Amino acid sequence: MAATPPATRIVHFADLHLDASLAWAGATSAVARQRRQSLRDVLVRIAALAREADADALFCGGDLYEHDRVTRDTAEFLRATFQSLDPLPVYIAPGNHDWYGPESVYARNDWSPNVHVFREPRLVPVPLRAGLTLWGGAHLAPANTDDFLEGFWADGPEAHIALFHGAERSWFSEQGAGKEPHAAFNAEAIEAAGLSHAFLGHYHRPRDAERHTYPGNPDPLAFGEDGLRGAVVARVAADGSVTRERRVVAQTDVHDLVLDVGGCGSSQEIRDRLQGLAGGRSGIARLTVGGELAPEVDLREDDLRHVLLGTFDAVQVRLGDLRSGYDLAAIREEHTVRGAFVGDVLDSDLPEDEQRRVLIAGLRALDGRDDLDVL
Amino acid sequence: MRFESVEAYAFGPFRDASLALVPGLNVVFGPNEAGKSTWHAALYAGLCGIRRGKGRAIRADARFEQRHRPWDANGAWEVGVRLALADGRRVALRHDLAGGVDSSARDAELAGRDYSNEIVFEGAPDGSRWLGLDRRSFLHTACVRQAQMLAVREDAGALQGALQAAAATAGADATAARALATLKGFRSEHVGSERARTRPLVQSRHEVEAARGELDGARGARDAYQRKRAQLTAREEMLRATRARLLAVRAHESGERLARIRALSRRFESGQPRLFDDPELADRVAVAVATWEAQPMPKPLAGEDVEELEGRLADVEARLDTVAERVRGMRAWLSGAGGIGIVAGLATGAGYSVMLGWPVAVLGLGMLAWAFVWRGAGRIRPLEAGRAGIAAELPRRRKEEEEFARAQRRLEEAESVLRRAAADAGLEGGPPAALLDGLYDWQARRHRRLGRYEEEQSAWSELRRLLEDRTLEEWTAATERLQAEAAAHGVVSGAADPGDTAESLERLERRQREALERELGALEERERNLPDVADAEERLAQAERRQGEIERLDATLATTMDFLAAAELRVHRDVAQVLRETVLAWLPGVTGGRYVDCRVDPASLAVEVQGPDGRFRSADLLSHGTAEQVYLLLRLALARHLTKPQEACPLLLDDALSGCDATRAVAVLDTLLAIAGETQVILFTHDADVRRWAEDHLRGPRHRLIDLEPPAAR
Repeated sequence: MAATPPATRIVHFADLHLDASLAWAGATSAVARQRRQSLRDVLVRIAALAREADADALFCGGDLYEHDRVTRDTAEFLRATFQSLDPLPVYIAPGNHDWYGPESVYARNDWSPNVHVFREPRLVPVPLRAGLTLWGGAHLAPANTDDFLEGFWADGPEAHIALFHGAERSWFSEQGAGKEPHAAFNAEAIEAAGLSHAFLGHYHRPRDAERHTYPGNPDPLAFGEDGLRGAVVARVAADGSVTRERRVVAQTDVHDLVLDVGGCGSSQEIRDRLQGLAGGRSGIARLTVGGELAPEVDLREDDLRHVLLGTFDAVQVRLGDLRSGYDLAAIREEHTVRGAFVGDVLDSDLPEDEQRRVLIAGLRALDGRDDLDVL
Repeated sequence: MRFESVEAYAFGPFRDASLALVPGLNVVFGPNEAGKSTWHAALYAGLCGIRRGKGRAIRADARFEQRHRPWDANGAWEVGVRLALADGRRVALRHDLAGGVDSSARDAELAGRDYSNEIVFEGAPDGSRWLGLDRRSFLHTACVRQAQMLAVREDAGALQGALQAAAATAGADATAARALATLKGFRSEHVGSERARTRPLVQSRHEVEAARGELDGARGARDAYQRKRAQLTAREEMLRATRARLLAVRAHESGERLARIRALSRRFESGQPRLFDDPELADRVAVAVATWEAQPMPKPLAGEDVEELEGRLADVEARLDTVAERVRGMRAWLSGAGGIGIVAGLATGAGYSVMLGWPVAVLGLGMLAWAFVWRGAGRIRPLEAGRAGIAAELPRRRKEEEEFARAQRRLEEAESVLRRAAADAGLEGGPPAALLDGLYDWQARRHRRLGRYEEEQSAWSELRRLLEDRTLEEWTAATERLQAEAAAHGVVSGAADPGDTAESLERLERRQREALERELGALEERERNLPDVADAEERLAQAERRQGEIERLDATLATTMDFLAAAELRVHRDVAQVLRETVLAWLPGVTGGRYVDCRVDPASLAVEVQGPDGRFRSADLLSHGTAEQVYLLLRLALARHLTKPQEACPLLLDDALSGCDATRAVAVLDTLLAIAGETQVILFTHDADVRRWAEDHLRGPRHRLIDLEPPAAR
């Protein structure tokens, strides 16, 4: 009886987006540059993980960098990092952000022999080991890449796995705004194509489906990201079945803070509460301000940001369920300009936030106050 | 609403003290330190309580607490009022000012009913809510202080300002106009107009434009870089094509070279060509042949030989000697005869006769001369000619013979050499001509052999040159590598262009490569200096965020001002009407008919009253007393306007008349008494004249004079 060949160990990641803009984080230029450096550190950690896991191969499911922003320095960093893994094979399937073209880093870099970049807009085979074939494809443009699985059939008695950058249709609705269905495919097409498993990139939300894996972006690219994102250590058995283990490799901490200003009688109380909220954290923060804001409190976005920037590298402030502390129902009953003003504003069709700001600004002005830049 | 009583459970200096009040005019008299201000504050606090937790006027609350919180009541601070509301309810309001948790608004007649929830404002029950006011607006509407009365008298604009403030916020804070001015000023400072270059709005737009320009520039630079990169990629492709052609040519040339090496190697399988030749022999043969060829064949000499000539010369000389001997004898004789003749002649001549002597002498001389001249030519000359001819012929002949002999010897020597060379060349003997032919043939054969050798040697040299110190196997491997490399570059075997040469292609490749390297170097420099697109995007995002904030603020402020201005206009119009109606109802009565009409500007709430002369005059410009009366009427009108229609707002006056002289005080008191017919008025005073007026004028259960106990009596 022939011995069962050992499982093939793979470290898979995708959607690192090196050199991406951090405009979403509200970061200053210096901080953004620092965070971009952190993205590189993530790749170094992934490389270290591949070594520690004694991987047989490192997979990248695309969007390794952003073509429109990538720098020469990053290109050299990639070359050196992957070379440092030699002879560990590195397989890269370019995505819609790092599409393969004659001017791409993939084409121009002088890669070490262990690096294999897929360059065809269709799945092409590479033997991973005896009895296991890897099929990979590349995006050759930032858009309009066809379904890699359309009309594809992995022929042969051995096990087949795939590596590409594409949008699984049933999971698309979970991705939120701004996501385009590049190289869209149906999950069932994987099995129908004779593939045991597909290692993918594109969706930033992680997913371990039966026959496909989205590792998710290994370092935060937006606020509100959930799920265990990072690198996936996968073991591919001789029959093509896959077991997975997720590893967090993020270098950046992103926090969603919620500040309830209710009960705070002064901006100092709010600052104290905010500092307590931020204590012991670091990285990038998004602050959602809510609660009933006492009328006398001069709360400004810049003040909140300033407090948080003492702790975090970048801060974004947004409004949650922030309510005015004025007794608007009572005020509108007044036979005064103030009462008429409040009544008119409340009866207007202004958006809720704008209504609140107008009310607070007007009431503060009528109170003789000059803190009129309302959050 | 009216106060029935106020209870100071623990308030200021009072403990469980109470002050009962009547529905009309209450004149509460007391000297200094009698507690008038405390009761005034107790009325206010008993009705409105104080704010709890959050809210404005923390400092005012603190000051109020500092003034009125007992310091010797074990922390208790409580006050209450008993109210009669227009709806018939009687409510006992009690405020735990210290903790705020024990405040209540219980029905004074129906047990268990607490109306606190109806009137909670800023954390605590506020009885002024039943009036449609709150504890701040009540303070500014219902409470008239001495300072306000003074202000009306001393500041021409104060009345109008007070009316505007009342219209805006029930007098609690700023006027609507001031609020609008504040908003406008704030907008100007923090937003600015479209033309204000130094203001945030325009600056933020400039910053966005600049950031967008930077981003466009960064993207443009990147695009230009990419285009240049694409151009260089095309050039690289050309270079690769040239290299492929060069590879094709090199592979082709290497193939041909290899074929030549193989052919030559086969030719020289046995090694380097060797020449079996005897150059010395060849030289000897050449010398022999040349010598022989250079040696003329001596011609046989014709004529007499030297011996024969010498014999004949000897014979001639012998004969000449014989003849000469004879001549000499003759000549000797002649000479002697001549001499004798001469001597004889001379002697004869000298001695005998000259005539005789002379001929003899001449004869002798002639004979002598003849002896000298005569050489026997007739006989000697032929012999001498013969001898001279022989003598001349003899050396020539001798020379010819010698030359002949030398030529003969040389010929013999040449033949000898020829024969030796022929023998060395392997020729058998024979006549020289045969030997010479044999040697010619020998030389021709050698020449051909040498020619072949030179050819071999040339081919051998070519092989050595082609091999370049490498072996055939090495050349085979090198050629296979080249061909494989060419194939790897897509070069089809044998696809070399016949017009291509490695040299020309190498020049072309070098030219292309050097130009490409130069441009790549420049491009790399350009790439190093490329602006960071992500950085520019972030700067733009920040600038846009800032611009968005300012535009949002601008929109908020503009909307706020619009709403506020509209509210102000509408409320002022209403207030103007109320003011006019109220003032008209009271003005003739309280002014003794001096003023019968008034009008109010809805825009500014400026009040004008019509005097006895029928002309309207600004209320600000009336006499102090009249102005104070008008002010009180206006406060009444505003209190009515600001109060819920079914309610009447009581007026609390704290020493409001202390600055009036007696005449004006009476006028005001008359007005208050008139007002108190419909609205409860509580006037605190320390003025004895006011007390006397009260004693004189307050009659019946509706009005009352209340004397506070002096401090010493408490």
